[in-house]
Amino acid sequence: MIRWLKSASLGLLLSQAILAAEGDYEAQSGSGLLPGAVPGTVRFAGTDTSFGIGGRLETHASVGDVFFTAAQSGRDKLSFSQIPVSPQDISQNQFRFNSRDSRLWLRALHPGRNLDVYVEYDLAEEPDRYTFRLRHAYVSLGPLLAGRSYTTFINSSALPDIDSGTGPGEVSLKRVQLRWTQSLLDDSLDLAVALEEPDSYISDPDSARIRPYDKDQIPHVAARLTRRADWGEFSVASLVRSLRWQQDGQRLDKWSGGIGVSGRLNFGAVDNLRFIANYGNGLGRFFTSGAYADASVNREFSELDPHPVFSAQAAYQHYWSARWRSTLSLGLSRTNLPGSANEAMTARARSAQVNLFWSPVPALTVGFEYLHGHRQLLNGQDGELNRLLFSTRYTLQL
Amino acid sequence: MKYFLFGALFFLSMFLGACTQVDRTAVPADRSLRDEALHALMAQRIDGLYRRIEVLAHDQNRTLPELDEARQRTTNEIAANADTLSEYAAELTDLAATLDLSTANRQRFLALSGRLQDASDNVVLASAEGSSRSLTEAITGLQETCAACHSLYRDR
Repeated sequence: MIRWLKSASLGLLLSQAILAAEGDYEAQSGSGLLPGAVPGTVRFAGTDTSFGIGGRLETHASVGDVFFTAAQSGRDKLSFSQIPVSPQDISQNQFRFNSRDSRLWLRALHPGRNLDVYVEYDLAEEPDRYTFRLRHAYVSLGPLLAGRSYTTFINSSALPDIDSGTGPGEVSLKRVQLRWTQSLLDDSLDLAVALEEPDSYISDPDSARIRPYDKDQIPHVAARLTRRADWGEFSVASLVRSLRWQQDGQRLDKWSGGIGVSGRLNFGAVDNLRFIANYGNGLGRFFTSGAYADASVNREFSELDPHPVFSAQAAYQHYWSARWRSTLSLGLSRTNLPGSANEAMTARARSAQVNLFWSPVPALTVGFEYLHGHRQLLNGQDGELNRLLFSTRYTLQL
Repeated sequence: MKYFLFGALFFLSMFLGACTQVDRTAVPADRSLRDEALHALMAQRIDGLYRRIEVLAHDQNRTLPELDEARQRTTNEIAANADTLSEYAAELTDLAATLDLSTANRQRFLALSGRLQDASDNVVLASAEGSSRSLTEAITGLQETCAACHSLYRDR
């Protein structure tokens, strides 16, 4: 409750700050509300700033396999590091409920100044309670975006419409960043360049544990070129980063990077194929929900070995009618681990998700989704997970 | 293997389903309304673009500002198509002279061609206004105009 109040207070403070900056806060008091600059927002008469508040209430009920020792998130969403590889680790036909995909968002925008402020939360589940978790929080002023949002390495329109968790080829990572987006060729081509929050996920030679290191001194540099046309969108992206491991006064650095393509191809009016494919060195953290490390330290603790990683995801969305739709999403990824890596580390993953969603009105979606996930360790041991999910989502906005 | 076979079959069935949907072929710039299929093609295209805006409500990944950008891009496309349709609708007045119509029917034809121009202009205005309700109403008006005219004159 306190966090809700904090969020509401943040929205009010934000609103007041922008109104005060315009110098017309006094002018609007006592006046009526008018439709805002975009759907889902309102503005006070006499001002040009629009405000929006909204969210969605989402409930999942699932039955299927769960890793006995899985973290809370791995019990409800696909998490490749928490797919059991040993029969005694699996709890079959477990029935679970959760509302962790519910969201709250706040927005303030001033179209005349190209100013847009956006904050979005979802829920993280802990035993017996939910807490707010920040997803996006950024200010965009014309071509400049500052704050936390999807990494520039990915085109977010390529992310599939699935509920049971991200596939092994998806990059849904969010980073704090400074991004400049330049429109070219009458807005049909965008070039985005960003400096992003750095961190390194590195494994020790004798352990399968992946540990985050935030001692990096150089931000990630990401660039994405996106072409838009009637057929859809196509992006080519690259990312360069410096990995750093630091422990007990010892320090190791290594440059690494990767390239990727992603996009959405339209078939007919509304059907579409969303795709993502990436290859890189030292980008493991970006894929497979963090099941891969970016690099590992060799046995002599003298060198950092970035792990080559490949991932691909394809999802076809078909509208059976205006109200019924389905998505089939297939994904795979693999990483080449060095000889010094622990044999219990995840080396390969794949998934298949298929759903049927019904939206009797735009704000409401009800549906079923089937999830199959598989992972294989470096030593060849493998395991799979199957779940059936029922979800309801109601979106509320002004 | 069975999953990939299942996947391939699913992809194929949905792809074939998509092929039966709205034709999204862009209207060539050198065609005019004298081409009898053009009305339907342009109205269908505007309708398809509008459906693309409607389904943005189901997009659960992009942020609201990203969705607004996508909505705005598609709205601009609708406006451009409606503007072209409005320009071509003016040609219908000339077309009336070449049709085998009675005096009463010719007058009705001219009235409907004027209505088409108005309906197209309304779509352009609603696109600029940015109100989803106005756009829905304007596109519904355009669809009704197309249907009314085609039911009377499509094969003449």
